[in-house]
Amino acid sequence: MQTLKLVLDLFGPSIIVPLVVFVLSLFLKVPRKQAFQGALYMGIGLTAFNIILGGLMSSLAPVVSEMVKNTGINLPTIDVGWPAAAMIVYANQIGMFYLVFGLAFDLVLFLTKWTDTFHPTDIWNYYQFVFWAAIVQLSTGSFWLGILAAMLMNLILLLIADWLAPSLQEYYGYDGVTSTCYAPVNGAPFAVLVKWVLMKLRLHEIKLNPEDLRSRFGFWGEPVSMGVIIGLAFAILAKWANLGSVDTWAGVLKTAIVTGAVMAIYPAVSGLFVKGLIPISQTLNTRLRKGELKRKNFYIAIDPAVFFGEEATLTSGLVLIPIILALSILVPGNNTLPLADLPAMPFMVIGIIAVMRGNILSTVIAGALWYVLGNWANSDIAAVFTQAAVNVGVQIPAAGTMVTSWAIGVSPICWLVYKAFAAPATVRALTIAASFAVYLVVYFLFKRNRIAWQIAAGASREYLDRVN
Amino acid sequence: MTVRLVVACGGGIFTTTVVTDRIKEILRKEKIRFTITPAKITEIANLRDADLIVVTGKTTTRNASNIPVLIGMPLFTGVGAEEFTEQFLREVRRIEEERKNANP
Repeated sequence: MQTLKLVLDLFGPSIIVPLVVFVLSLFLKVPRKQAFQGALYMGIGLTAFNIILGGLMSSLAPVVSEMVKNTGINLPTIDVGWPAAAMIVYANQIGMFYLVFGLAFDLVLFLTKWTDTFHPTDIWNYYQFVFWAAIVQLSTGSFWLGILAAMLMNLILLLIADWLAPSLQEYYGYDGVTSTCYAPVNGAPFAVLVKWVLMKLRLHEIKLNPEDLRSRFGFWGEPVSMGVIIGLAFAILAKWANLGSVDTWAGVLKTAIVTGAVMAIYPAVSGLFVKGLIPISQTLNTRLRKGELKRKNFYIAIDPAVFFGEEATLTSGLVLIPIILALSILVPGNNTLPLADLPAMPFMVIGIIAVMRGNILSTVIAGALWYVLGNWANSDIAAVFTQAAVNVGVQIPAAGTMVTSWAIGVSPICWLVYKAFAAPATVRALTIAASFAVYLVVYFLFKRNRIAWQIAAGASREYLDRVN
Repeated sequence: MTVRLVVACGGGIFTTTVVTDRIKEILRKEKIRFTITPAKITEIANLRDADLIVVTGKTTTRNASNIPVLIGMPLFTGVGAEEFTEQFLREVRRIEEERKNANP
């Protein structure tokens, strides 16, 4: 055990993660060349992201700490985007372990028909909840508590995926699929409640015109210009007192270019990052589609990018970007400046929009409320997120500044699980047991009232009759 | 004659990478010269300097300079991939032809 730890520390995640992924790929019968290339790119992506994050933090952190000092805007936490959460996951042993363990666990759940969703095709998105397991481990010091937390979050995710599947399929027009990506789907159960209220208030009947909205909010769809403007606005606020000097303006403009650069460079780097797991996902997908698996009804987990471009999804996401920015500043209890994950907003409403059947107003209302809750969850874990980031080598150059991945942190469901597992040692056994009990009750209620629940989530009876 | 393609998805990452690799395979087999640029769906309305856009998921977004937009979802999931490949090659050949005629 001691030797293993020494080896892991000596080579570091940029070598060990690709190695684990390579072996896992071969085991799942991915062609050797594809497996090797993918694994290599993953190591490169990890390294590249670490370098970029360093550059970004050294220019942004001082500005943010100035802003906190000089204005009333108390947002000391910088949203450095979801790749940071992925990096933390894979730089910790729990992340590598869960790639293998979680895949096996998912196969068991699927083959025993505990769930109808085949999760491993979306293996790339495991990190979204394994991140929370990593901070459970960090807070409690227990690797196995972290694993147990990951398992519970995995179970909850598959329950939501089973529940939402027909609604997603019918709304987006893709048969046989579902989404198992936490950020897009975990707001769906909340949306079911909000929809019920909105229908009582007769607000769900109001239809907004997506084309008109798109032309008004189109700017928010251009990540680079958005990054520049946000950087500019916050840097001006931060340096409000000294706007008379040329030096200040040099700093302001440089900050704006840095935030623009973040938006431009992120997709390229994160593209490298995912390459390692794409061959696994694709190989499993092909084998399922070819019918190697004998099972009548099941849902294949698929990357949510295929839902992104649908008109109402895109429009609601763009409309929500400035709303979330404003709410982040105005609603007390939030400490995070959303930035790098803002362009992901259309992803963040996918589950909600399916429940709302494409109603933009209802989606925007439910999304805004959900992400106010999400902001509180994210703010609560900003300190431990920062600690986890520092542990894997991220430098935080200004005291008092923190980092999070907004899209990953704004999950009230994962936050509840985290709180149950990280509760004081005296009550922990109780809170963990309670969290499993709640899951089981909801699971059996769903099993018993499956059709009614799936209709509440947006699917029509006709569609359910056709697919069941 | 090089055909200039753009492949777009939500984040310009996961599905784009998969679909791009598939398109490369198809076009290499057919010995067609091409370039591929990744993009985000939010950017395709205002793209210029491309001959054909392939989007990985359904979208109603159109391009302002009338560059044709194909839905390349079948290349991602494998369902209907053959039909899509045919349609795609037909479109690519048409573009080749058009450009040959435009500047002989």
